[in-house]
Amino acid sequence: MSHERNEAADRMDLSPLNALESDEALERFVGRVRTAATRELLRRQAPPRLDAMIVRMRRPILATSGLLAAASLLVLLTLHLPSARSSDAVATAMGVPGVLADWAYAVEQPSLGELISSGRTR
Amino acid sequence: MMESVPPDRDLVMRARGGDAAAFASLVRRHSRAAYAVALSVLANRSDAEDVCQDAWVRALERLDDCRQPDRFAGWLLRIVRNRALNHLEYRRVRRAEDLESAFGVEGPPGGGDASRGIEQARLRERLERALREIPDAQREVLLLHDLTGWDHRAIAEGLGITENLCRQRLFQARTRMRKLLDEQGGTP
Repeated sequence: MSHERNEAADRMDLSPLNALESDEALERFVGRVRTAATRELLRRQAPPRLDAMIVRMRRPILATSGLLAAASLLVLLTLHLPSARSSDAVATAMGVPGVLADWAYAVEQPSLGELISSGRTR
Repeated sequence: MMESVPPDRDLVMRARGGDAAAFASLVRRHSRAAYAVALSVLANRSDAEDVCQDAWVRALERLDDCRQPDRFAGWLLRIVRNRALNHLEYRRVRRAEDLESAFGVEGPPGGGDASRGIEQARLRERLERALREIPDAQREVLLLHDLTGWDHRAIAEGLGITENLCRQRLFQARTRMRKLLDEQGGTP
């Protein structure tokens, strides 16, 4: 407590530097700031426009988009890619020989001999 | 009956909605501290006032970014300090005039006694010259404490430092200022 008092007593008189020391000077300054800020104050009084709302929401929108992208990536990475075995499942579901389903996935067309032999296996 | 003083948080919320009176209350409440911070960087009265005015407009434009409205003062002071540093850089680049004229001598507002005006101007010049000689961090604390009248707690919160460091800086600043002013010929 006495330390605070000593400190207060030790205060330097810097008032010549204080442009806002008097209440009048402060009020003049407040008036100048108000005038300079008129445009922004009017903008804030106006009902919010859609583009302004979007701009204001940019942070939540970006954060949500980032989360969705991360979740999608996780799903894609953990998803089973189609394997060679999936052609068997297709063939079974369609009731055709497995080799036909293999051709459906294959890049090259089957030869005539292969087609004939597949008919025989059926 | 005493009129209740609305907290910064309420004034910030209202100013966000474009309430000019709430904004003016914030300006009235914090301008002296903002001015002290600007002066601590610029060591020039009129530049400090200009930068403060500019910082207030900027603060209003960015008011939605003030995440803790109850700590508005600290947030504002950071804006003021950044604007003042930018201005200092701009002044350095544009400096065509010598340092003495940059620390111009202004008469007291509204005229008055001419000799007293000259005396005040001389005193101001000496104080400004001494202020320039002490480190920025000490100057900021000295001005907030001795010019604005803030206590250590408010300064520590506003500047994001500890109260002990604040006391230490104030002590060092005063000691250095007094020494410099003595060398110039008298302590105010």
